[in-house]
Amino acid sequence: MATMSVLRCAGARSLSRLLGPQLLSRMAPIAGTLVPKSTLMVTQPKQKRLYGPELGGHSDTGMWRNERIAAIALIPLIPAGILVPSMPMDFILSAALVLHCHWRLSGVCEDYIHGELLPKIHQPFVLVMSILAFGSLCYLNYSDVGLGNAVRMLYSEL
Amino acid sequence: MASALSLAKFLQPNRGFLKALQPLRLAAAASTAAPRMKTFKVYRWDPDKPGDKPRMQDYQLDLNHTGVMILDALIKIKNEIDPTLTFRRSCREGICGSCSMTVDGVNTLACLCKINQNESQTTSVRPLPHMFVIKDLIPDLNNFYAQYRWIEPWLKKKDVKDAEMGQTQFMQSPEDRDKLDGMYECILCACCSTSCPSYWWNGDKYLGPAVIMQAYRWVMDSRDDFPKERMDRMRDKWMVYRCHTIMNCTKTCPKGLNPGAAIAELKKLMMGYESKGIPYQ
Repeated sequence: MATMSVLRCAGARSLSRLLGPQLLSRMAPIAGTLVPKSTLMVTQPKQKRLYGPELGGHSDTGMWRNERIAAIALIPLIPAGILVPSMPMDFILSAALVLHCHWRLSGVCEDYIHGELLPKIHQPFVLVMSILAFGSLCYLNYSDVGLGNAVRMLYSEL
Repeated sequence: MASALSLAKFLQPNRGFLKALQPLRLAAAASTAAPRMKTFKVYRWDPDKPGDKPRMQDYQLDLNHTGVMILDALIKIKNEIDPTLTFRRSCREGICGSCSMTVDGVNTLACLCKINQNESQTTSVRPLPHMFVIKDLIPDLNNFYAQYRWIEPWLKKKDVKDAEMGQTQFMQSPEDRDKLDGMYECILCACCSTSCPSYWWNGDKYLGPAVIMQAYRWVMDSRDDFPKERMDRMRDKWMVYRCHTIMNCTKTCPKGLNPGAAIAELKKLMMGYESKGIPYQ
């Protein structure tokens, strides 16, 4: 190995002139072992997943598509719900809003909350908050002015 | 042949004469202009010194005697002021991707980034953000390379045995080749991945823009026989779907590429839509 390093220092071109092409091609497999693999790892892996991702999660493509559908549906739903308030429109808007917020809030929690304990808690917490939010909106729609009218009143009454 | 060589040698300008002339020219230029001292704040951290804490060190350079690029300034600092300053560099012309670092808060290649000629403003130079630092301006890119290796960035063929490899060319039409434009130019400098907040928080699981763009490049290659398998490996919620279209990657890319669009096209493909390569180039 030391000889090989010395030969390498001499440069590939002068080496081939010295030794001829046959010897070089015979040496080729050795050249790859000049740097031991362990020395390439400078930072010690603290978690088992530091070097390269891990296979095995289930497909998330459908979830991603549903999130996009909810987000795009809200673009016409929000102005429609405010311009033409009605009981069914209020319920559709509440459901779409809560669904969108629930999915994206879960995503934000997954992105930013790391550690041992908190990642186990945040999903049920977000779910409870979303259920409470949807229940409150339903109550508003059913026994009060409704979501669309409430938003209108923010601009007219306050 | 020999006579042509000797003729060329006879005709070429005398190197020794040119070298002797250069300091004279520089001295003449310097004598006419007042020194323009500019401060460079450079991130320093030496792991070999026990208890050393990261700090910003100031260096003064005369812009009259410094090249135009940040890399020229760093090389000048290393040559003339502080030989312990450590950074990666190789080609000094933006094709090797070694000298990626954060200049004034923006990830870029030091060799492609011009020095701000306003000497009243200091310029800060830091290693790529949110990476383990090995020394001074050198980040640990092992995780980045491991992710790149994981997407298998090479041609995979069905029904071709190892012994047959190299016997025939795998042909590709010019139209299919055009689909790889805007992706094959990537030099893997990691500027985009380290500018991505999603990669900052979940770099162990999220592949990052540079690697996803290369994954898309191999999915789009008409000669590759495993595009579906390549995509199926990335379908979990971390590897691709942690991209939230923040577009820092596209904003910072020193090669002017668009990794954000590549990720969007890959997401389209994974949903079953058609993709024709990166649009609007």
